[in-house]
Amino acid sequence: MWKYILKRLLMMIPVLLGVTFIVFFILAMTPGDPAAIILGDQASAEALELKRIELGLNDPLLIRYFNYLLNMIRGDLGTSYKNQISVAAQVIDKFPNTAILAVAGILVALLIGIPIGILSAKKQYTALDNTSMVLSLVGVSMPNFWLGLLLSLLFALKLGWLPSQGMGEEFIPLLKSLVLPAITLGTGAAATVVRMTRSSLLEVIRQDYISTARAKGLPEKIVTKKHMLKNALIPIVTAVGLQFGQLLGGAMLTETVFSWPGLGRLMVDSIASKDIPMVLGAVIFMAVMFSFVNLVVDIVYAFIDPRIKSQYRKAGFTKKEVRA
Amino acid sequence: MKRTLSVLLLLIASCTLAFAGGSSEKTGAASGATGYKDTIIFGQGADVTSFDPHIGKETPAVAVTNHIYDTLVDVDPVTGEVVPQIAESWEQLSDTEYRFHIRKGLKFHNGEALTADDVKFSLDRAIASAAVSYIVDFIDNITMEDEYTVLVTTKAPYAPALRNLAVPFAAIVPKDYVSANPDILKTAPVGSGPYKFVSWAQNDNCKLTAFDEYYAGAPKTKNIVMKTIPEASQRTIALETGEIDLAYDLLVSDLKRVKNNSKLTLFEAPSLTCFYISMNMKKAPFDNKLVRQAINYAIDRQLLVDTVNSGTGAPADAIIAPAVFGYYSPGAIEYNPQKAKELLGQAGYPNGFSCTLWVNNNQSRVEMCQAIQEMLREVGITCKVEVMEFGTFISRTTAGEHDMGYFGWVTSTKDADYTYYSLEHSSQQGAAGNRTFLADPQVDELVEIGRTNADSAVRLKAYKDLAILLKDIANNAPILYTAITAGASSKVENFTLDPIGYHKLEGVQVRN
Repeated sequence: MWKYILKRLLMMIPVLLGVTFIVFFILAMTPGDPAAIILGDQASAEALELKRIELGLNDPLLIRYFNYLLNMIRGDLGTSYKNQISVAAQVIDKFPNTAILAVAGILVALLIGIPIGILSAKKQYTALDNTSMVLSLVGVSMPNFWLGLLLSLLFALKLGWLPSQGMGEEFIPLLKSLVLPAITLGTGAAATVVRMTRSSLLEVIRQDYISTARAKGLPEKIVTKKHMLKNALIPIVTAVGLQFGQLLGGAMLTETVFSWPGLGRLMVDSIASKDIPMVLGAVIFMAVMFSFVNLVVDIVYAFIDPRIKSQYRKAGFTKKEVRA
Repeated sequence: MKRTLSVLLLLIASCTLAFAGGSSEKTGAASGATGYKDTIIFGQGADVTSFDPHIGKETPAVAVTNHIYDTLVDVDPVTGEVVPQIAESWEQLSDTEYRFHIRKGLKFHNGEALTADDVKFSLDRAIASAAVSYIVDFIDNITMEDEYTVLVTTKAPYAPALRNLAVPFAAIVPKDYVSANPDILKTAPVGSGPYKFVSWAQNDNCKLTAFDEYYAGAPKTKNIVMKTIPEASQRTIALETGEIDLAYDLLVSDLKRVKNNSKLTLFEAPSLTCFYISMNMKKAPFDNKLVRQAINYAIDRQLLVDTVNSGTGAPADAIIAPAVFGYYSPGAIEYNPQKAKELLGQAGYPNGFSCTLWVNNNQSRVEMCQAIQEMLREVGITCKVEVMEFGTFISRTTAGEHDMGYFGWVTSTKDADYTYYSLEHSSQQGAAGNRTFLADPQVDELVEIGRTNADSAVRLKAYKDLAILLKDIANNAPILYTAITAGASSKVENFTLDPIGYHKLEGVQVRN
């Protein structure tokens, strides 16, 4: 198991190399002179040239890329063009805010998604199933920013229950300010979870061992929990993991609409101001988060399904696998 | 299953009940007996880029930092006159020499005394900063005559000197504090302004508190909180719910909502930004004055303001805005397509001609150009709108490759020289701003009179003559002045709009 985890962590290196390579080159190809972005329109030609030399912009692209990689290995993601503060420091500063929102969002998604998914699978083709399927379609299709605005119009402006934007500083204000963005984020994710739970359960529901369990006279609750849900869990965990990985990278629209000071906002602001080191740093961080969540999901599989656990064990110890 | 569901429902219900108590995070706490709140909360679309006044020159940054730092002199927002700030008085010794007498007993927020040494250090630092040097690079050198006297010598006679020194980028910072760590002001600013820096949560908020030892007396409201609310419609909602007292830079479509809400007040004024079309006089047919005048007559500016700009702003009649020192209206530019056609006929283009209009990839600017394109088509000019990235747009228009280009310009010193010298003087062709490549001795002479003469009356006369002359030359077609907007709770008192957006809050109060 540990060898497997180590192997997966090592595999993140080529992933990160690929990500940095692609993002670095795409950003380098976008038009616009970073020196002019930093110094503004009115800066003199000499000042611009000095800035370009300082930033190493006159070096060939590949040299710049390798310099960037070397610094990255040392943990230095560069300095933001916009505010000249360390990129790593800003990313680390914003990550907890995004993590809070991501956890809250995924909780909302699970609380809504799993029960409704189970109910609609067990009552397939009933009015309840059809309604939940239509609602989940609406949930998937509805743009986040629009739902966010509607929610704040209703709960902040009309009812005055919750703040319309921002992140509260103390515990209760923080919880209050978390509700609307978490619902906004969670609804989209919930819709996916509902559909995934339903289809995955439907596959299991017709298996012989379910009939056996029922024939044994097990109560329906146990059948659902122990026999259906546990076997249907793998695709659900995958879907939830993917959603969570995405949310951890920062929910750009939701964070912007609700002025939530997270990674998504940082990313949007950096893109808008062509703050290349900041965009690169944030993208790399997102890639790390995504790979990490995927790894966690794979490990969780082992706990859900003993067959997978034994495969991991084998994989960890086979010479061939280790070499690969 | 049923039990899980009911626990869940119970949880949700209790949460809802807990939250239903109303959003407690309303604006600032009451300050008891005075009847006014002790905190003003304002929302703006972007965060502070840098708290270092010699780096962070974007409007959202200055809207915060100009409460922290003071400048040698200030410009009165109502009268437009230069008034004392750190310098309590000054005299002009010659065309190129200004002596400033620093107020005695001034302190920075960290307790250090503010002396001539700090002034010299700060102005030298601003000159050395590539980001803001263009505001102070008229200065040749700064000499300390004694602890409270500074002599500023300019490279050449420069009449707007005082107004440039009033621009927030010429802020005075504490020498010892900054020398110890040159980067410190970016995140831990110390100035001598009415408010002290308390904290900054990037992309979220910034807090300031009153500096009780401020020379002009402590500000009326104890605390200021700036909230970054990037989504413009959310700024309006936050204003409506009372979460913020002031919202800067409202969405055009929200203006009506704010105006019609009896609990809110809408502030709207022309900004210092003018949008205009520069015609490249090095290229035919724009080397012909009649063609340039025809284009000016072909554009219905009021219609552009009413439609593309949703009724905000005002049609431009000159390249500088009315709030700028030296503005003179040479009369509105008439919309007269018939006259435009006649002029084109006289110029030898009775059937019009084809040309291009370049614009950078900004949606509202592109829409404006598309509307202008249709207006030009009406008089027979086939104009192709070409959209390009800002850097490319600037470098290609600098090289004079364009026929016409659509530009915006802010007269950030509030003095006509800043714009007329850059956009109209023959020495400033290309990168410096003159992208019509105008080289007219009479224009140069008037610009220089305005630039070098210390007598305001002489300057105003020169700018009046210049405005009339430029309307005739028609190298630029001024299109519109944008508006600057802010929404406020009707409990806000003494708020005045700054035409650049550097709204000052030290005199503002919010009733309970």
